[in-house]
Amino acid sequence: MDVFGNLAHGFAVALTPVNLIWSLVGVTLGTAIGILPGIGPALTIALLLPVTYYLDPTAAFIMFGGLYYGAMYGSSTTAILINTPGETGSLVTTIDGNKMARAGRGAAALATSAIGSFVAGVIGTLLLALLAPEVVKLALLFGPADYFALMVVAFAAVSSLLGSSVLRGLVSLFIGITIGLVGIDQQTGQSRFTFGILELQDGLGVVLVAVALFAVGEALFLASRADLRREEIVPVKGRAFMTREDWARSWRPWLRGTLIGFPFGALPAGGTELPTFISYKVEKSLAKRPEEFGEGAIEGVAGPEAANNAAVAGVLVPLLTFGLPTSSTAAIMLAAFQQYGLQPGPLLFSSNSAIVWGLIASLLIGNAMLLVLNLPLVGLWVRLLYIPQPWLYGGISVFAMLGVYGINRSLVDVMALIAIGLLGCLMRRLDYPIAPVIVGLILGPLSEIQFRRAVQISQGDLTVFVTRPISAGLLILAALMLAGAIAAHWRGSRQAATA
Amino acid sequence: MTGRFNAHALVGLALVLIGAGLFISAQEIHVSPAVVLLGPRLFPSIVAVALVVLGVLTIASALFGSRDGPEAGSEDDTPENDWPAFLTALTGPVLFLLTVETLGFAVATALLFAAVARAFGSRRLIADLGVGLLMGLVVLLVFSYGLGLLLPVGSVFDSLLGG
Repeated sequence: MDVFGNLAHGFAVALTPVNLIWSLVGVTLGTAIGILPGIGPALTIALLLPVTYYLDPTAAFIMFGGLYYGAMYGSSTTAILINTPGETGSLVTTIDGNKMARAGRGAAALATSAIGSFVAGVIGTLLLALLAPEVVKLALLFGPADYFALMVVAFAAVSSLLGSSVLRGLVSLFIGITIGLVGIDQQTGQSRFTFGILELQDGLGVVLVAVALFAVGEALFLASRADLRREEIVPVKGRAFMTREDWARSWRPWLRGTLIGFPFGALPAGGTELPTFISYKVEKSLAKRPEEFGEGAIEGVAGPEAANNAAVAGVLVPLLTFGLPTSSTAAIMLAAFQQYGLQPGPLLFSSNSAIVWGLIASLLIGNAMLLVLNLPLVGLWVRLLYIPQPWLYGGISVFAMLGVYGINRSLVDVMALIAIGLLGCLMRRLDYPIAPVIVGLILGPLSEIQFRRAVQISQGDLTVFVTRPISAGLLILAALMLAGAIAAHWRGSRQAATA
Repeated sequence: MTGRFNAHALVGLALVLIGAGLFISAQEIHVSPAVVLLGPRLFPSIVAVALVVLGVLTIASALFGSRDGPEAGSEDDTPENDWPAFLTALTGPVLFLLTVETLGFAVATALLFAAVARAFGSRRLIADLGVGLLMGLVVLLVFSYGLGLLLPVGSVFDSLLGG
């Protein structure tokens, strides 16, 4: 079937009243949690996992997809109005977006980020629809050894591109992989590292670890740092829409941001943060008046906000075609697929094409809904920012506890929540990135399965990883990524030393 | 540089110890004689070795690393620590753990909410407890009657209700 046939099939799934409602629920919830600092898409999807267990998988993924997009739309509102990113993907937007708001141009900043997000979301989703079937053909060539090597690339990418140093990224990654070892060995049924505790037989659940790190760890961290708790809301002022000049200065950054964001999300290169930084730098170097950057340049909002939405579409390419998550949200979505007994990858496109194409079509619809939610209705959302911070974090803690305790009503789970929350707080204080932990936790067990399959097929020959061309190429790529990142850090520290 | 760098050295030390412990206990995993190739021990052992190596590297960079690395930048803005708030926030989940089965989900939720709210600067204890209690009661009702999941009402109240 061609792309249009596939998309038509997808729209037939997505346009049913029930699925439209789930899409609306997803984008609305996504916008809300995007706006609220302290609660992001990964945490929300983790908290929803137990509830969606009873839901039809297509509806669940339509909701999750809308939620992920919606979070990117909503986070820019927070970045612009209170100078704090709602999500990490909007960190760059705070620089010029908040300056614009202070100069009374908040409405224009909100508009350029919402329209830019829409442009990028639509183009990105269409690219996803065009590219995914081609990538699936590639994925069909992959054997277990190649899959293992691909996961090594993802490990290298997530630890070298996030966080302040490669070493810290790798430490975070291996903490995640170590946590993932706990529980029953999936191939032999042996229990490992359970310390004789029955509850640990099934392993430490993804929900538990994600909630502990993102909700409890984050709350403890913010409580311990008085300087990070202050915030000030800039009221939206200025005309409700963009001027002719704003449009002229915005449309090129939107397109460039899309073209930067999509490949960075799609390649196993780690999430939505990095492309926003690149987009900002590109816009600054191309601008006629680069001195305006940092003082409220609209290009500095338009480009990065397009980039983070395009990156979300990009992230879905490896997730759906290879089952490879490149951000913590994608990792949690992979766990959601596993909950339904589905394995993302080439077979998903043939055996569950209704889910895949229904999801893609619903993302196009969701983007249209989000444009309405975030442009004319932005004034309503801003009210969310007036929730007092103590009640916001109190509420997040209650939902986190409910999400973990409500599943099994086990006090062991609550103790694990506190312990891993303390670990998360310690990591945040010492500046270790959290996302590699989640990716390691979810990809660790999968990589072990592929590793053992590969060696079993080759009858114990460990050289299989370097003799297969795909696998060897990917392992070299992983090594280059790590080496490149280490070299970049070295050069950075040399320059700082001579300066 | 001292406090931060020592903290990183301690992280490295912890990684080495965890890696070593993991390696030793990996060798004690029971392997059934039917397993010919690659039992359940190999992968944990590899992870254990990686942890030890990363730990040693972390110690090395904490003790001998250049102070001009990326770490230096993050030290410029000295963090304002608020340990009382941290401990107050931590009290929340701990109180929940201690009270959920005896005093019930609603009261435990109220304590959790109030403790975290206090850590984030709220000084209206009664209002916070009230909001938390309301949230707990709503969740309790929705879960019990809507989803059929029974959250603990509390053993204390059970006896009061004669149940």
